[in-house]
Amino acid sequence: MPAPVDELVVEVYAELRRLADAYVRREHAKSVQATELVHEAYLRLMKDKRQAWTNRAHFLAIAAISMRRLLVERARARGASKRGGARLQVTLDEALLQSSGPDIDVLGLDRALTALAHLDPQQSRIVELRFFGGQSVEEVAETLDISPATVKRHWTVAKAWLLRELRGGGKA
Amino acid sequence: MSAGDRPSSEWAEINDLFHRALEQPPAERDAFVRKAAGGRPTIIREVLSLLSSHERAETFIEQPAVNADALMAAAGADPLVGQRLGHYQIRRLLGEGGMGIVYLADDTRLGREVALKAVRAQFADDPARRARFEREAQAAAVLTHPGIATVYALEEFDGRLFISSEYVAGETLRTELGRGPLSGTRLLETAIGIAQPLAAAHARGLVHRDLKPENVIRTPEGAIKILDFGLARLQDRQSRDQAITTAGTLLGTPAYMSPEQIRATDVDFRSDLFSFGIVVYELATGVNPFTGGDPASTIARILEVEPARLAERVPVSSANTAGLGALTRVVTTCLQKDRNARYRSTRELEAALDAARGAGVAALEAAQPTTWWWQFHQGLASLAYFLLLIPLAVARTWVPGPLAVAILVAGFIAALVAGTLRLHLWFTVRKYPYEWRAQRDRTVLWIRVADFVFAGALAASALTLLPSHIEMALVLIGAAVLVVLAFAVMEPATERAAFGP
Repeated sequence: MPAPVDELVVEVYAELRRLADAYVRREHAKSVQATELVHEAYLRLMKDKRQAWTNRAHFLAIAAISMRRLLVERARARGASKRGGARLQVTLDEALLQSSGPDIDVLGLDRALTALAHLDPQQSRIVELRFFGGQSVEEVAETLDISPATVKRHWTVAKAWLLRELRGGGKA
Repeated sequence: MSAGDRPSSEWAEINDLFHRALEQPPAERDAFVRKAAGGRPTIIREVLSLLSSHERAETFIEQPAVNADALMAAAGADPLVGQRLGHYQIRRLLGEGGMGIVYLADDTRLGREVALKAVRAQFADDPARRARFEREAQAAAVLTHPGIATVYALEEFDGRLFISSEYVAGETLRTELGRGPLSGTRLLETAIGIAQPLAAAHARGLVHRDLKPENVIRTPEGAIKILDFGLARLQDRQSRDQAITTAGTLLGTPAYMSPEQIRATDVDFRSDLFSFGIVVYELATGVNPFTGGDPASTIARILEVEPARLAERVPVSSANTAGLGALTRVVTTCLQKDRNARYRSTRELEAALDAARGAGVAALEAAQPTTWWWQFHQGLASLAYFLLLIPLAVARTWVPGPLAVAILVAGFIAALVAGTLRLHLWFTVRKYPYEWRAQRDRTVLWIRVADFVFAGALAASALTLLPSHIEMALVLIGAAVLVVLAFAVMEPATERAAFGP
């Protein structure tokens, strides 16, 4: 990944974490949606560095990577606080993931996604953009410059593969 | 399985088989895979395991960690940036207002930058609304005033309406308020800067309807420009009423609406006067006097609550603002719930503000007897500093050497700095009295440092003269003591007498 993108990730990530911490400190955690955090982070970053984002897809891609890092870090922090981190199967921080529906093991997903990246970097990217970045199939297609049909095919396999990894099903 | 950037051929085959199997009826998939894999157990096992996982993966991670809509909204959802529309090249997003998204664009035909506002689709679709829209835009385009961002044209591309208007670089008063309230001349001049174009537009029968700190820009040259004049009615009602929380500020809230605007009665220039009153109140105190926790309580407060008098709410640091009393009366008049009790014309408001400016000067002129001593001290001290450079120069010719040169240079610079800054303060008091405190605060450190250096230079020069030219040395020592006395004892006394603690 080129250096500027990394810098942007760090920037978005720092902003997201700062905002999330601020919300939790003010005990507004329950009333805040992760989406608002991202929105707010984006507005703040736009103010500082209007030129940094070439387009929407660019921001979404960076936001996806940043959200992933943020959520993983949160999950780790919670895991560590639970009796020496014996139980790593954690539910997501409600403050950040109100919209995510069923509990998902973020740390496990993160590890599985990294493993998937070795197997198929593109599928891993697709999951990152869709799940952490919230992009639609069409948007992912645009971001990665592939056809929506291809995105769907990869998505289906990646989901099945990741779920199997998370359920502890052995690899072939 | 092999690591690397490219998926292995085995993985590609597994993918391919997986998809082909999915095309088969569920009951036949198992047999299909076994047959198609041609007896390779690893591949068969992997594909079957993925297929079984697939059946349970339907909802898995389908719901994004972050809601997609909000993310897109956050990112500005903007496919237009970088595009060309007619003779406009869209450069970047400037912001989002009640009317729609605003872009910075290059008008390639006339070679100038414009603000291009995309109008919400609903205006373009309905013929009646569209006709009204065009009428309003035309009316707004008639308005030309240096204090108002000019509307250039109404454009249509692919069935979408755009308004191109003057692009004003600079900072909105909202941004400026983020750094704290205004005081002194800046506050008064800003209020006048808004009132003047407002009066000009009102004289032509045009009402802004959405005056707020977000709609007023201070250009890098310091001029005030009002944005979106007369375009407020083009906003859709819904987005106006909706409170959108962004970075702690409220956009599109009723916070700057007049009571009659809230009651949705007919609105005339006096509604702008009310909004003007709120804006000036906020500029002076840093807070909007009516905003409550939510739009509903804000509305209730606008309709019912009399805000505290401006003078009582101004931060202590700027409470010495001369003319504050007059400005308080202006704001109170603007904030009357009954619009008949406000100014009868915006020219009247302008005149009242001019009077406030005059009152500021008058207030300090009335204090003349006490500022006289201070002024005298400043003038005399500056003169004495410059004159004392003569013996300093003489001393250098008597006892030459690099040390003497250094002393002379230090003394010269110190006298120049201390003298010039004192003359500047003296001039400020005579010409812009309400700026005095700000200027004093800005220069006081430099003056003190220069005073010390100057006194030090005089004393040091005296020491170099000591055995040979004792009289001159005594004169310089005396001068050094006088300088210290003047700035450490006399000046604070005259300053306190003139301006209070």
